[in-house]
Amino acid sequence: MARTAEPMLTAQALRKSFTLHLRGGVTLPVLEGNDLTVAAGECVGLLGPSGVGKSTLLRCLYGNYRPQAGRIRVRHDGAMVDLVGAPPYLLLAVRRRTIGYVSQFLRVIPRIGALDLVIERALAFTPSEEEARIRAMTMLTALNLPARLWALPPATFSGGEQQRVNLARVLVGDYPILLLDEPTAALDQQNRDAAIELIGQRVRSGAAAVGIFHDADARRRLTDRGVELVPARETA
Amino acid sequence: MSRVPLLCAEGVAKSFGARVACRDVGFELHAGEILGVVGESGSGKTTLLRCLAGQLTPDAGRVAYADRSGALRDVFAMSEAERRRLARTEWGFVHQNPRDGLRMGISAGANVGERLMAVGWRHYGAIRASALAWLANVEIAADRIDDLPAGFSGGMQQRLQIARNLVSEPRLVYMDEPTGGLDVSVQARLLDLLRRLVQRLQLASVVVTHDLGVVRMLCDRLMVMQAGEVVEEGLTDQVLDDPQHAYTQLLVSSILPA
Repeated sequence: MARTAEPMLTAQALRKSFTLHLRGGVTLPVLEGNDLTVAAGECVGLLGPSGVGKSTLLRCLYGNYRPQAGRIRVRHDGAMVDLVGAPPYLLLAVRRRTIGYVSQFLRVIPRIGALDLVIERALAFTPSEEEARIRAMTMLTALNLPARLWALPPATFSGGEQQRVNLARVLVGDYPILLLDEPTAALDQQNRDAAIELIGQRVRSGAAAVGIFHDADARRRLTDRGVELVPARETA
Repeated sequence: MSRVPLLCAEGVAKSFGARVACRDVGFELHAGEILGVVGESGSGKTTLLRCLAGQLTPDAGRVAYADRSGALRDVFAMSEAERRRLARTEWGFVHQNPRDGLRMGISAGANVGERLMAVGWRHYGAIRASALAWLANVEIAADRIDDLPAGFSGGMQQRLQIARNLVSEPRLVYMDEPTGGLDVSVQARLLDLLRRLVQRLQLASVVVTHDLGVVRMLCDRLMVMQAGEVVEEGLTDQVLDDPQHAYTQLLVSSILPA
């Protein structure tokens, strides 16, 4: 699957710690100088035990966590842009069209139906509401979400159904970079196969993906290589 | 999204006597962005909002607004008449207390229609049709169009005030605790409506609230104020998921789980 291509995403010397002011200012170091390079058409798996900082690294790459030091560069609208310290409007634009992030849990506005939640994302990639609707319906169908659920808000859905809405919101777009935090963990075997196939298609068509896959089957079928994270040094 | 900001604030400060209400507040706001301002009561949020909207003159600092012609104009260097014209045609202001934003002596439909007349609408049928559509948008029954807002519940009055502000499709809307006294179900519907309108019309908004749930759903960006100063800012998810200032950590850790 891997191709030689210009990097879509690079992270250099990332440092991230958390200072808990309500706990006497104790500081928890998580990332200490991590590097990562991902090319188009490549899927990289983050490896290491729980608590080593895999999700923290993904969240930094999405601009959700703010690293104390280091650089994160992504290819956005044909140019490399630095996400660390980027102005808000740029980071929002990168999230709208360049980076799709599948989190472990779906967090959306209440009272909006599943189909509308997916259409909303598709509209960043097509000016046509009709085409956005068709793309969204196609993706929900491919992920086996029963049509009777489409008009309903996902708050009442099962974990697996919510995860499929979450996946659909990202896979419905043409995001050139995908960040996947356990995208198949809540799915049964049949739905997992469907999700793995759809993610694989996006990577084969040129998306750069970084993921956390505790599920060995998903990891084996999707990732081209793994990057082992090492625990940060404990400091007082 | 263009790189020319719609609103630009620099070093805005306002004191009442010896008491500092806000100090050294600055930010840029682009079309299509919603900026939340959070902090406890008395942290200077409402004073800041009133300074931004040209209702209070700051002691120091600058507020500039890019009008429809695209020129960035100093809000306090323009004439009072010009500020009023902007407030009527390009801005909206949703007050915490709907009685401050509505005219209680005229009907619900007239409250909405009046804004359209202020921006030049003259055709009665079109005004009434638009008023009806907006009452439906905010879930007020069509048969209440001729009723006075005084007879409405607090939640209905607030929805009417939002309809009155958004009907003329302003470019910038200031909101002071817009969902304050509302039922949770109405609140979610309103937030959804506001967010869609912002996306569709590419308007910008500054929303003052102490409700972090509202912020999570509605705002792209966040400023956290404590004792008149901005102690932390960033994208909403950055500030709420990775709060860095002690006061922000206290606010975030105080959210009651649903």
